[in-house]
Amino acid sequence: MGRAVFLGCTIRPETLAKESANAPNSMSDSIPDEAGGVGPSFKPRRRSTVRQHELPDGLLIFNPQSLKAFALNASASAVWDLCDGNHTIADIALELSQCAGRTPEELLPDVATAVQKLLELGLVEQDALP
Amino acid sequence: MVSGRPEQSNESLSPEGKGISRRALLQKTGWAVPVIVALTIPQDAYACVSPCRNTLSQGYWKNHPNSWPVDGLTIGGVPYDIDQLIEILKTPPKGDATYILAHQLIAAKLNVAIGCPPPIVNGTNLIEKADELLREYPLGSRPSKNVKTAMTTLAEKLDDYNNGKPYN
Repeated sequence: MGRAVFLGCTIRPETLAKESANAPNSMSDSIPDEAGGVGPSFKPRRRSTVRQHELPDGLLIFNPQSLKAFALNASASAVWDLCDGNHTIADIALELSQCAGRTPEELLPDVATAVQKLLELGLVEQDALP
Repeated sequence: MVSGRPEQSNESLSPEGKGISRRALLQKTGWAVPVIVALTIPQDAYACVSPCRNTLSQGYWKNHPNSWPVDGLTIGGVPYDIDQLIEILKTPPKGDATYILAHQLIAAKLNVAIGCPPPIVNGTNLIEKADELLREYPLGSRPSKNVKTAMTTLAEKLDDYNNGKPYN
């Protein structure tokens, strides 16, 4: 991960490296496997107040209301992109399967867990019911 | 915490094209387990993004209710809808510091709701401080001298924040 400029600030590479070193190795490490998580028909929508900054291999997400920032790897970023209120979790898995070389069924648990985490962090919300 | 209306666009979000290029990247790298890592950002990092050039004044918000990113706000622990908030903004303070502060607090909360970093001074969020004061001294309570001074001083800082000026 290279030197990042985020919200007009330059974040030192060593800061990101330190965070990466402390990062969990997999989503299953970083997200508690809780019952009652989001289902395949859940439609996540990015909160409109959340800001993001592109990185070569992912994204930096900043929530100005909680003053918290998060780094997303490429897979999590691809999930984030599709949290537009139009795609269900199943849709996201299906769409990403077309470019990830996996079946939708294989991706579904990862996508659901990622969305659950984004939800817990207040970065996405459930799309308004019709 | 306020949340934006779902239909509101966010200019800082990537256009769809970026999403497509990221999916193209995924095609190259292959799928990995999604990882979301909390980052520690030094407090002083926020200083370099403030004052936010995109903040808008209370006068703007008062006259542009259709631009509001939220359906309501909680001020001093009391929830209000847009119509009620506009009424507050249109109420002349007439020396009542609670209104002077509330006017700036409403604008500041709306500015945060559109994505501006909140006003932080020495680790204190001025919005939270204003909310605390208005919780203790509700709107229209006409607090006495010391509290009045504290409220007007805080309102001046929020006014600077809302107008994109240095506020610390």
